[in-house]
Amino acid sequence: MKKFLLFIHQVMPLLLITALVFTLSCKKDETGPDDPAPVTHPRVYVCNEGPFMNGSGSISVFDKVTGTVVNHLFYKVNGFHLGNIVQSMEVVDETGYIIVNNANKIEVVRMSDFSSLGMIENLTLPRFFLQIDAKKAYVSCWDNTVAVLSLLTNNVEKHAATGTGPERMVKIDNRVFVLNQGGFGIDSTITVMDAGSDLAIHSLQVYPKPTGAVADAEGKLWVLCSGKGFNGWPQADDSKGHLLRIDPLSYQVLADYEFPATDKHPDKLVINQAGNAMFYIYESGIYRFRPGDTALPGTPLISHAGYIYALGYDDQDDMLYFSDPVDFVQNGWIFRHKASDGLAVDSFLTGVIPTYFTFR
Amino acid sequence: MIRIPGGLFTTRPAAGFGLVMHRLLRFCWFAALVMAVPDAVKAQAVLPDSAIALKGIEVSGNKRFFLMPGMQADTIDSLVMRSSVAASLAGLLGQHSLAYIRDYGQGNLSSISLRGTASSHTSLNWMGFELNAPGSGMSDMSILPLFLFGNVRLVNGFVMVPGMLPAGGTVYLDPPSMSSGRIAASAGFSLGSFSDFRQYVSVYGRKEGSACRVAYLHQHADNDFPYTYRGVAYRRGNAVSTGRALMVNTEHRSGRHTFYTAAWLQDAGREVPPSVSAADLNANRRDEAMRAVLRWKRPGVRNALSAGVAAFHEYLHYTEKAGDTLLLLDSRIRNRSVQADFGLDRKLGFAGLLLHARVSGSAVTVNTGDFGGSHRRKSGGWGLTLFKPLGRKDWKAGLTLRQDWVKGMFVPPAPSAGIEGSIAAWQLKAQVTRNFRIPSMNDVYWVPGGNPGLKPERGWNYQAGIHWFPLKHEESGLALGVDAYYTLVDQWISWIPDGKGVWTAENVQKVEICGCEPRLEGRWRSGSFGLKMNLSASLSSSTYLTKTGPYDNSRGKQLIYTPRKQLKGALQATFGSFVFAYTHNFTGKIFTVRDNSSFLDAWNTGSALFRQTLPISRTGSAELQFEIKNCWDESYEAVAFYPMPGRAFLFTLIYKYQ
Repeated sequence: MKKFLLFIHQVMPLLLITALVFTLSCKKDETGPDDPAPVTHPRVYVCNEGPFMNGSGSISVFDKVTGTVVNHLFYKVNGFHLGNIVQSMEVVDETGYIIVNNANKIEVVRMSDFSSLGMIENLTLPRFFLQIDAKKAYVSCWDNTVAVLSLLTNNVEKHAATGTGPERMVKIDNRVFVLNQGGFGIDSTITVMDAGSDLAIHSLQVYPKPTGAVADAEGKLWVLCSGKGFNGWPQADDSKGHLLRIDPLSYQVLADYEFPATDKHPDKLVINQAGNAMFYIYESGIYRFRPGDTALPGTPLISHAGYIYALGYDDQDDMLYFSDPVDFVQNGWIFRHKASDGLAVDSFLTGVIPTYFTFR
Repeated sequence: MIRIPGGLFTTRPAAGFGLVMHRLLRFCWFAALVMAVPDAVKAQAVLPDSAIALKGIEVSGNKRFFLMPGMQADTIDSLVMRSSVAASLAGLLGQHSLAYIRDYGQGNLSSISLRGTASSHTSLNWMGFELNAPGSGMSDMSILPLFLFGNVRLVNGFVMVPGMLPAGGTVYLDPPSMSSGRIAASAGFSLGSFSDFRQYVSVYGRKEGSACRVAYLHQHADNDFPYTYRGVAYRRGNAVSTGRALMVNTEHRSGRHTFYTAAWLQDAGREVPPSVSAADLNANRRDEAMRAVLRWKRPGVRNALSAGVAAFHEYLHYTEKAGDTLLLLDSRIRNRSVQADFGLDRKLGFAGLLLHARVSGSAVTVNTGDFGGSHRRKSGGWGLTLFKPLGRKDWKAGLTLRQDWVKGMFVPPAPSAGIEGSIAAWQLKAQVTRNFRIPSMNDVYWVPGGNPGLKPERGWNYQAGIHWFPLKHEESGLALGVDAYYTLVDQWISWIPDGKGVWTAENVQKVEICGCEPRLEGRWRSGSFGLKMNLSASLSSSTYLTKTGPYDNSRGKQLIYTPRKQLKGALQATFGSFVFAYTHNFTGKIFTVRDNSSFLDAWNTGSALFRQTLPISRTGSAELQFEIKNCWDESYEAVAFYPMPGRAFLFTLIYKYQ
């Protein structure tokens, strides 16, 4: 027993010292950014995909008047995460629809306070949301369908077949043009759907990987095709990108502008409020093209030293927004430039992989 | 009523060979019974209340072994190995070492981080040959069953493993002992929570100079543990794991020559559950491996020689589906490698110098559609080490020069120097080593983004330790020490997007790692009562010193999934043949993104183990073991959005014949 007491006598001080050292080396973990403040000014919502595979996306909100940013808005309001790969977000009246791609769902929020109203499920890899009228919306899904969503019940009512990997959609009159980008492969078609019957009425053959579509001031459809291949990884069978002007009624290609190289692929396409200037990403820059131009521009409107991932246009103040995800595993940057002359305005940090802008 | 064949339990057989055969038959009958049980038991194990958990817990001790003076080397305590028969290597190291295991959940992918480094900075070595997959440069430690191995050692410092001189460390998987008498066998099973069922059989025999051990393991687990997400209770889905492994070890002595062979077949199939933030992609993974090793040794008074050759064939098939039909991913990777080495230990004729020389070579082929086909890598290397006993007792110094060669790549020479010895009750050691790591085949050949122009990572590692032994008696002992290290790795390989958005492997970063590992160990024994405890901590800072681009905010930030703080404690009490052990692990905050803006909270887990050994006869005994894992039912994640199981139980019964 004496030996045991001796042992305890010798061990205890050392134990206490070790525990004290370790305790002192610990400090209280810091929590995340500040709590969200009520946002009443014009604002920009940024969808952040979140870390690939094992993370959750997030929503950042930028107050255009005060210049303040609140990250992880949804989590801070609701106390749980959105899910893996937040792809896009659209607003219908006072209800927000957040498309969470890899979680196969749409999170529905009340825009006044961003509180969750519920989830819409029964979707496979949803990508983008397009309001058709007051009662329904289309959601493009990578199971090669467009889901027809009732805005009255927030239920998926049916699925309409498309080409492979449907992505962006644009509505002109009563026709919806669904760009089939190819998903994990390659497609080069546009599915034309009748917005009344929700049926595919035509399939339009374009160039590989149609990635962006807008309607100009004259109601013509502009489609940007990236072409086969990846930037920075040239292969023998790569193809050039194209910018097409298409008559939405006859589907006739009115103009076809070919990009000069097979190893450089344009991406994203937005148009200003007047419908007389389009912007797209090409070669680490943002280029401007006016519908009356006879050739594609040779120099960028905006040059960027990093990588441009997302592009948005704010028609309230004629501003271009683009994102740089840095290395895709840390918070990304948003840059604001004037659309009229490309001059830089400011920049701010958001969440991981900022991918989509929603302007309110 | 079932009649037991032959009345083996009632009739006393004749002595001699008959007795041996009798006991062997009795063992075989028991083994057959154990192997026949699974389905019935599995069905009973579905309910969580009847559940049972994993792996054993006991106090681990530091046993010294080394090639190079000044290194930190830990051997997992043999008692821990004995009670970890159901555990994987990931489970063992996560609980009984200062390694951090990036664990995606029970039965799923687990990789290691040693001393604040990435998984690819730890070498995994079996019988002298590299086990890490040549494609990824790392291993999934959750599919390496401890039942197959005799011992596990961790080494931080200079080693002669091919392909790298790892900044993190080296994990050695030693073969089981081949000196267990004439004949020995064991069979048993484990039954645990979440329909976890494992069966084990091993048979060992020795005749004159030859010995053979055959070990077989079968495992199945549903891994459907409960967790809560968004306030809703779920059960983990798509998480079933199955596996079987067979290992045959032989030893043959002929004169001064000893030959060892080992053959290892393994087949592990798993469903891969998604993160809780994602939809189920019906992901599946299958790992198959065939490995064979031949090793020869010829010890001698002046010269000792050794040589070995190994051939590994590994196959990995991974699929993901959206829904039932849309195949998103179908990846198949085949690795074939041949490795060989030759070593010489020679006592030089002056100043007591000892020379260790080694040459090695390997040819590795990785065939996968992800590379656009097949790629082969040939490499080799040599190393020369001089050991010098110094004037004082126990003091020794070593000096090494190592040079590796890889076709098409310049590998820097890797010198190392170390010294260690004792002064009174103090033990001192120090080592400086140049580290390097050759880029993995994925880094070089992956399409897109692989970079054939990559250079090996290179760096310097400095480490020193001081240990104090104020009490060193037969019945009691006390040791207190601290090991400190500093590593600077240049040309650190990171996958980053280039200006065009393609993820590309680049030698872009410099990483600084520094830390210390304080340890406290004590033991006390009186009669049949024994008490052992240890407490160890890891305080490690691993930070990027450079930026990957103008907007990178990771400079000065901690590497992701490398905890700054870990604390592990263990207490073991024995009373005769009864053992109680408790281990407690604290893991500090872990960052999940490179600018450290998101993190996982710190967590504590504790595990308790009760074991009783029951002698059944003069040559047979049964070991009953009951474990409670995560006994405080801590809710935590080791990888973001991958929940870990709560409290779980494991019951193990092993019959041993010797």
